[in-house]
Amino acid sequence: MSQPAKKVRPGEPAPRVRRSARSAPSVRPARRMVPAPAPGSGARVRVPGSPRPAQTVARRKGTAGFLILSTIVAGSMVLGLVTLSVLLAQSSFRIDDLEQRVSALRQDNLELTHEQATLSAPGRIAGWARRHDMRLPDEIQFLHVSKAGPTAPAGEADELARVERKLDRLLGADG
Amino acid sequence: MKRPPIRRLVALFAGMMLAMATILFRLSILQVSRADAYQTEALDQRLHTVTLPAARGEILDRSGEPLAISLPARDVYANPRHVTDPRGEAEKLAPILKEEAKHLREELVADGTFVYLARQVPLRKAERIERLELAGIGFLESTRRVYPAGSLASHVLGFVGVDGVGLSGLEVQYQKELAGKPGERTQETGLTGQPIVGGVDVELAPVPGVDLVTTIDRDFQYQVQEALEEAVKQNAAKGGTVIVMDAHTGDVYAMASYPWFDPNDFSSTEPARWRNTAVTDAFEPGSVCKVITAAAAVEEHAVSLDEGFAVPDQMQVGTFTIHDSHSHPVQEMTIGDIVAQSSNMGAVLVAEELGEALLATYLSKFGLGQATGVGFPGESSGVLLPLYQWSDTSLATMAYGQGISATALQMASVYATIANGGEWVRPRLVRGTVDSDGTFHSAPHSPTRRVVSERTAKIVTRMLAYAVQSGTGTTAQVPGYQVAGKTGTARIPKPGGGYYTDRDIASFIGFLPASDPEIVILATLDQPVTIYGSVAAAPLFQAVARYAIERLGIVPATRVSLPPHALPVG
Repeated sequence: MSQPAKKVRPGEPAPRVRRSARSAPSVRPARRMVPAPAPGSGARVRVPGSPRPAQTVARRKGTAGFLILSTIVAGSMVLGLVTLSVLLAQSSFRIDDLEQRVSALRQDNLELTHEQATLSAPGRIAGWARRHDMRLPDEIQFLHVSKAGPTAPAGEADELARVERKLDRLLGADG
Repeated sequence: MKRPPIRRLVALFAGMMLAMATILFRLSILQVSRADAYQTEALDQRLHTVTLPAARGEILDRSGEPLAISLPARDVYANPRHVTDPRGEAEKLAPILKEEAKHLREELVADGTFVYLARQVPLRKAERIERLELAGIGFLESTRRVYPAGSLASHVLGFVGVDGVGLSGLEVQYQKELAGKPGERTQETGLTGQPIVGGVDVELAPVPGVDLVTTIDRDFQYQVQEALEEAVKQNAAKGGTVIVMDAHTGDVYAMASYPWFDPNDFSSTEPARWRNTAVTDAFEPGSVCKVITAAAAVEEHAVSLDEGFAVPDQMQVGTFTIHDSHSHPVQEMTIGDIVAQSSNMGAVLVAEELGEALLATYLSKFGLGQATGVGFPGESSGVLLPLYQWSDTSLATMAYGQGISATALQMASVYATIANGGEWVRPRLVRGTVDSDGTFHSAPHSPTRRVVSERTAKIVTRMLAYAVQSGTGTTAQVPGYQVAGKTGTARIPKPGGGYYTDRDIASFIGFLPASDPEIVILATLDQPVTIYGSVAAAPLFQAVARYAIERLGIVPATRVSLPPHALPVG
């Protein structure tokens, strides 16, 4: 939309006129004719079709770098997320697998406990022994060794020494 | 082209608006006013709760050896509507389940959608069936109770039913502790029953039951059962009982009643065999009860130790004639002789000095007529008539243990009281529990009560040692150890009154070493051909005592002196 013109008083700065595509058709000033630089003057003149100036090239290079960096960062994030997701899934499978293993081992433990208890049952051992013609001795003699120390009476100490000698003979004293 | 009239357009618009309003109204009912109810209903359809069974605790012997354990198992069921080939499936299942194919076929064609084919099937068997991939056959998680030592201590342990609930013995007494608390898992599932990822999945873990540590010594219990079985067979008895108790703590090391049964297959045995008769059945104890008469007389100073009694071999009491086991001339006996020779007439004379009231008091103080409190299911209190119901023969017969009844455990406790210096201690079958962390929680010590003084207990011990040294109990002697004990031969009462003349219970109860008792042993035989406790039961006591010495490491102690006696010591 066009705006009404404002009067400009003398001494006041000229108001900035916004230009939009709609408000007024853009009118490009006519290309001024630039005189050809004198040879050796050193002035840089952009000639259409010739390479861009170094500033523009650098800006474009920066943009490309930013784009590459952004792509790398975004790619890394996506890759990371995918990796994390895979790892989580793997962990989940592993936990499930371990839970099953724990359950199986617990079951094995129970089975082994049962087997151990069955094999060590006195009835089974006695039956096995009977089948192999083993039997309990008719007469069992018990040797009761008193807890006599160095201060034990002479008789008791002698008895203890005698029992020890007997035990040594039975067990093989040199062994 | 003719344009539709405006009215028609308005009508169409109104109709569409009405339809829209109806839909909105219905939508608001579904989504707003009854949203919660429908959401709950929908969730209920998706939620499935499964009960997670708690592992039943083990029953262990006093050193931790398992006596009863639970193993995972499966129940095999069929949905007859889904069974496609009943004959073929029955033939495949029969050899694995060890059932008749015909019976299984009948189950597979039954009406309904669920029928058990087998309960508590071991996992390996169940896996074999699963591999067959039979149509309409399913499985439910379960456990099965196994008793690795078979019939060992079967009466004490008891057994559990197919639903895993204890039905007898310690299994039922400690049902709550052993069973634990079942858990449950609630999952949100789809139509096919698969869990919905991210849906509701709540698990309330089951609390496993505690392990029960008994006072039973597994190996010793086996030796006791072997000795009892041999004695029963040698004496052609109907049955027998042995109890071995710690004299001070009341811990029962072994408790066996013949005949026993295998709790792994209890249903194949007649129910009468399931009873732990040592605790549930009362019998007239006979002469082993004279120890109470003697202890009461000594405690109450009713007789002096060196006082002589002129003891006949029979006497008239009321309208009855009672007599000793063998005829003899009138003999002078001290109270020590009366106990050692097991004289019925002597016991009556001592009881007359004591009087009815005091005898009744001491019978009760020693625990007769009341349960021991061990807590075993079906424990009998025995029968001790109140004093006002005593007849004119009660004093005489009760003096030598007839006319009253007691369980084997009660009688073992009577002798444990003497062995424990006159203090009664409640028998104990459970030492404690082990929780799921493996922590042992000791059961409280057994309560005690003073019955007679220590002095009286020592005097009675001397009488009992005398009975074994030169009285009726010589066959109970153990070389190297002084045994104190008493024989008993009791008549079995008829249901309608009176006694069988050809049926007796032979018993021997004692402890060792006499001066520093460690264990009390009770041995009884039901209706042995050899009749007398001295011939039938005392050798059984001796055999068990030998095993006990070896197993429990009992060392000899100094000997007690014999009580004053009028009869010559043999």
